Amino acid sequence: MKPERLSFPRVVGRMTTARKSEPPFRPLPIDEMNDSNGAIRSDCVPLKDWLDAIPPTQFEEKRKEAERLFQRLGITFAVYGESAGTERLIPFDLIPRIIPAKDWHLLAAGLRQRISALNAFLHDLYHGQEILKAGRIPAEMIFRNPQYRVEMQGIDLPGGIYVQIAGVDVVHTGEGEFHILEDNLRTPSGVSYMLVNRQMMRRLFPELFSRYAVAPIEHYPKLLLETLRAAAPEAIGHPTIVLLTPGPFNSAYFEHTFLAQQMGIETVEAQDLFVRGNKVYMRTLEGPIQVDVIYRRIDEDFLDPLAFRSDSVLGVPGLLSVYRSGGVAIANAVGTGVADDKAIYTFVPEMIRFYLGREPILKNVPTYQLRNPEERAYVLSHLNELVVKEVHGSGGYGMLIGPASTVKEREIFRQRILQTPENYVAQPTLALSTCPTFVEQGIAPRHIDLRPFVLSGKTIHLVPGGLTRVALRDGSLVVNSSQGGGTKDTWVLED
Amino acid sequence: MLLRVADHLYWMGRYIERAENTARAVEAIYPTLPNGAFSADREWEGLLAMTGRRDDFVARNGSPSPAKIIRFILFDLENPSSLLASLRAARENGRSVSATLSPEMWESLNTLWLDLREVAAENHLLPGGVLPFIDRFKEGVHLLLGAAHTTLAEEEVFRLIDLGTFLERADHIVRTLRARHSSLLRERGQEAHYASWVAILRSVGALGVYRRVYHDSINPERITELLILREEIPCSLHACLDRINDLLRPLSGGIGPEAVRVAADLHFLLHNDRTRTILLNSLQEYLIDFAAALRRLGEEIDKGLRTPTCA
Repeated sequence: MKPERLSFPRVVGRMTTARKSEPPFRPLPIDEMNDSNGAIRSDCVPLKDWLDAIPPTQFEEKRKEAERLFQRLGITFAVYGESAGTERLIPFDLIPRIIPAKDWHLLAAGLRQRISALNAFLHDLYHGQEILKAGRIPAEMIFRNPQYRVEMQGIDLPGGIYVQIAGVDVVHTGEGEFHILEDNLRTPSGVSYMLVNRQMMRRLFPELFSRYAVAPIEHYPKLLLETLRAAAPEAIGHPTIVLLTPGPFNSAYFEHTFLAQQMGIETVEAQDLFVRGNKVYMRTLEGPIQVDVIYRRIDEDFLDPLAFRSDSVLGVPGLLSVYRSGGVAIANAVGTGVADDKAIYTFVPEMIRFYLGREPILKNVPTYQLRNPEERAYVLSHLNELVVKEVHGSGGYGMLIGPASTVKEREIFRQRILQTPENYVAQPTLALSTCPTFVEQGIAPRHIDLRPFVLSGKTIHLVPGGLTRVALRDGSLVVNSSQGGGTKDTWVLED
Repeated sequence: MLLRVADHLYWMGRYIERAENTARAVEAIYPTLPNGAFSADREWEGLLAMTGRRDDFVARNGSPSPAKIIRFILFDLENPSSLLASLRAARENGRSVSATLSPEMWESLNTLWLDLREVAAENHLLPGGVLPFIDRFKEGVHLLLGAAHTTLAEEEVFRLIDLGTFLERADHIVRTLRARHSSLLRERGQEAHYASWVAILRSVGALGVYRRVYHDSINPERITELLILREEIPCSLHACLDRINDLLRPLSGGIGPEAVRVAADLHFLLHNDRTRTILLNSLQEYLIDFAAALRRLGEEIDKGLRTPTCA
């Protein structure tokens, strides 16, 4: 398909408007505590009073106590590229981020809508492909995408659900306004930090909870377990569920063991599983035990060396063939990656219209497809204003943040874009909201985002909250923990 | 229980016990450091020899001195059998199965490692830092084992940790007796070896037990009887083999029959009527055979836990 045929009037049209109305510099971000007149938002008054009343030395003590607790519980994080076995803490900020009830209602409705549409899209894509036939998404974007798994074509999954767990990245960009950054439909992580941060805050500052009606999140593992049960092959009364981890050297290993323990299920590595007679078993002291649902926290490329990467020593040989014949369930499903790269992302609003017949509740960030020559020319001449991302990148790696970049960095990206334009997209720099945060100089506003977790089983569930990530460096927009970001507890207020 | 998990639990048990044995062995001769009744240097060199890592020591530290040996045995993370390295290995095994341990157990194991690493960094150069380090370690191990007793839900988790513990303990008893067997031979003068006999008992944590059992002065026949044959005390080879047999039998389905058979043979050795005479006449040979059989048992257990019997 030639690029000219990619003329989706709605998408490109919207982008053109965005382009014209986009101010040359970053718009002013809103602050979670102060409104635009500098007054404290009513929901934040008790928090502000509390902050003002506590001596700074006490905060320092509490911060150290939190750090010690994280260390003792082993809530540590391995950073890629550093020597094996290096364990670091994700910085935890003591000031909670507050989300008013009405904002949460909007967000929750928007997220349910979005994930419903994405599940419908995946089901359609791997069955009749109506959306392609209707010309609403260019077929070449699917079939040239390495994340499209032809092996999944025609496979029926229980309930038609592909994405049991999504960790959607959202930014707060204006009063009552949120933008979706990424959908994260493969193996999203961070939910353990959401849970542990709450435990930590309750322990460190019990008095603050008496000033607020904070919506509970502690039932997340129960909802997750129900979601995984619903994914089991039909007619299994009490499915055996396991969590498949790459092992202790994975950066999210703490989360894997934490969730498994909370759900009372086994943490397995690929070597613990084997395939026999079209079923999957784990090797135990009591002999083989059949496994019905695999909550996989490893990339699908490493699930089965016979199906995906024959060079890999990881994985369970034959797993995919059992999966395809319905002998075992895998959550998230194989093949979800095709719906969450940064190019397909552009079409999610279109999916909502196509499958649900509704207008999207939450906004997408306008995105330039660099494979399109017209958009590419614009982006290349505005690199200093835009954010350029790799289509398949994640974790904040492989990104150019125009306003914060040097001439040299921009030149490197220009070359890369010219070489493989289809690997990149660009977006205007967003005004990520700020939130008061402890930094060396005291309390200062820092940019934050939010990752709520959406569970799709028999119905869609969200616990009110998510993981708030904070960019600790002044002015920085990169919140990823691999890049020095921290986290906060997230308080959704009850009505 | 997953075989991999069983393997990690077993090794966690072994490494914790190994670290404890090292602590006891150092404590047993530590007071001899300044000016003991017998050569302090020889005692420490004996301990170094017992670790089987003398060559590594000399390559990195030159000629031995008590202070250097203590550092090597307690704090040196490059010496895989040092107390701190054993604790690290126990913690790494524990981390691989932290979802199987109770949170209390995992937290006490992890905390012990983090704290001791810090204490070691501060104390390893201070002569007065050795016993506080060992005390902190013992306290932490008691917390860990206490947490295990009060919080573990599955009997099986315990069983695998214990299997590692008793196999390691048996190994340590044999090593200790072998290292000092010459002081136990009958023809030697009695009083000259008294300090060595006390050191043997303290190394395996049996001094108090000895006094309670015999109410009498220490002599070599009774030491060998106590540490090898007396099944009613927890620090004898016989008691270890009793436990190992009990622990292994229900596991035979998962790890195969070979380990169970080797353990039963070893156990039989201790019940043999001739054992008592052999002990008195050819202790060293007896210990060498026993050590070899223990090693074979360890290999069979490893094989059972690592080579899948299914698929």
